[in-house]
Amino acid sequence: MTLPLHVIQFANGDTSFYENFEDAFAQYRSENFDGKKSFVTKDADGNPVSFSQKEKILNTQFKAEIMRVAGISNMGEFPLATMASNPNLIWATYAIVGALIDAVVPEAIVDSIGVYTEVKNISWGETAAWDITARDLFSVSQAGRAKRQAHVRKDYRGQVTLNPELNQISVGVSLYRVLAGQESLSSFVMKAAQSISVAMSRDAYASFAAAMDALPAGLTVTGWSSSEFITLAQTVSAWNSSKAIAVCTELAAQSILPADANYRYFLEDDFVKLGYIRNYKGTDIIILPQIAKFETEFQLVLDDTKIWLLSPAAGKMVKLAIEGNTLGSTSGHYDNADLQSVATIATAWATGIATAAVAGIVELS
Amino acid sequence: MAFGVIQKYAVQAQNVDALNRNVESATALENGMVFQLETMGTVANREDEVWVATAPATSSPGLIDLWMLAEPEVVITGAKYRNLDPDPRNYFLAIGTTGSAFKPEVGDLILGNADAFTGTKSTNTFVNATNADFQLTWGATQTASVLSFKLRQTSHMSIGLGTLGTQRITAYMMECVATR
Repeated sequence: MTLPLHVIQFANGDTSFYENFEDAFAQYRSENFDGKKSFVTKDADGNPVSFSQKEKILNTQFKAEIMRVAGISNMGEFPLATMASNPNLIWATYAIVGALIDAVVPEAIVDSIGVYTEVKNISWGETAAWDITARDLFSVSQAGRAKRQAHVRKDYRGQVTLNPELNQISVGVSLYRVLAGQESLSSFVMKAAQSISVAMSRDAYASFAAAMDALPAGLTVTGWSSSEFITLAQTVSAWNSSKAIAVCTELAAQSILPADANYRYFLEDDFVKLGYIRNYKGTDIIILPQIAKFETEFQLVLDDTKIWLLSPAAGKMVKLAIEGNTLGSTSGHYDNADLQSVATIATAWATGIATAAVAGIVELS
Repeated sequence: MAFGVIQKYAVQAQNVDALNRNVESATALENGMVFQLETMGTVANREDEVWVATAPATSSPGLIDLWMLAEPEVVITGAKYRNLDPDPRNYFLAIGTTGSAFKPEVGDLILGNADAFTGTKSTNTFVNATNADFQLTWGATQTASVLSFKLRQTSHMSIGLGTLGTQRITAYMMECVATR
């Protein structure tokens, strides 16, 4: 696992807390979402370590880090309720929350949308720009033996720019619930980080899906046809000079079957155990984990009726620009008339299509 | 709005210094625009080798011996910042700045995008100089005694547009068939 430079600088040399958080976040995602992350399962002495044990350690480290950043050596001098309104503590808490989100979000993003998305971090106030070279080669002409030059040909670079927009999450907690121990700081941070990464993923997917739906004839196939699928894979591979892969949801992948329906399979076969074929006639099938559509209960985001053909090695078609770093701020309990403390986390990003690569789409229905 | 882009496939001006001139104009010019070069700037302004472009006019000397703008495309964005934008379709020669023109000769081959010509392409196969218009105009036939190009091939230019669909823009390979 690697940490962004500004997080390492913020940690002032001791990055163990941020590394532990990355590890716990990987386990949290693995157990709650995609189930494929690697994470630490044993401590330094070789004893098994559970997520709840990690959470306890993280909470302790989180408090220690807050005190380090806030410059406070002893919290036992005053009751907890008094310390909770210390402005240094509040500032330090949300500075650390921001650093933690920056530690885990890029990795989470790449894991979920990395097959078609390139992430670029830019400084505050900058515009993210990608230069796109022309896709074509020059045509070659036959010539006589007494002619100095052929037609003078050229092509042109293009450029795609993205200007990130700020996105915010605000969460309010009441003083009484905090004092009563109803809130877990580490859970709160993890959910905030997960929310941001899901929102980014959805933006990237929205850009991807809209562009793929608008593909021209020649790169679009309607209905499942084994031969048309192979033709499309060949087209994408040839134009990208790079092997195409098929990308889709698990449900869509079930449609990728031979034209002759007279097939048999064993209970141990991939198709029974996984629900799809990993490689169809030379084209790898990569599954995109579904994303929950939180605004509509129990709906999913990714389209189960599309199979996309891409060549990730030829260039990621969606670009995600993240501006600056995550900003965290909070109002203290006593800043608000109702003793509510409101925390806001803000991150600026934008997504768009910028590629010289070619892609194809199979529209199943 | 996209502007004209031309490529000089094979032109006599590539080998003849006298067929190339410096030009400036009181009107913003796009590549592929044609104009008369009848007057020069002044020595005092160090513009004695810079010619002033005026729109083709049927009055003397007529729509003949016209010159065409072909300045390397380095785009100025927002009239302030140069070289931010690599797309040649956003280039034009700003008023009062010095650009490069060449004199088309019969047999010259150029490639021009759709924006380099005016009027409607439809089934037309010629572009002709017209009165008071800097751009060559599509026509079904060659206009007599004016600068005229004939369509030889409908082709394309390749630009890294970044989109998933086509990254080609329509362009026309034209042959100069008359200069006067």
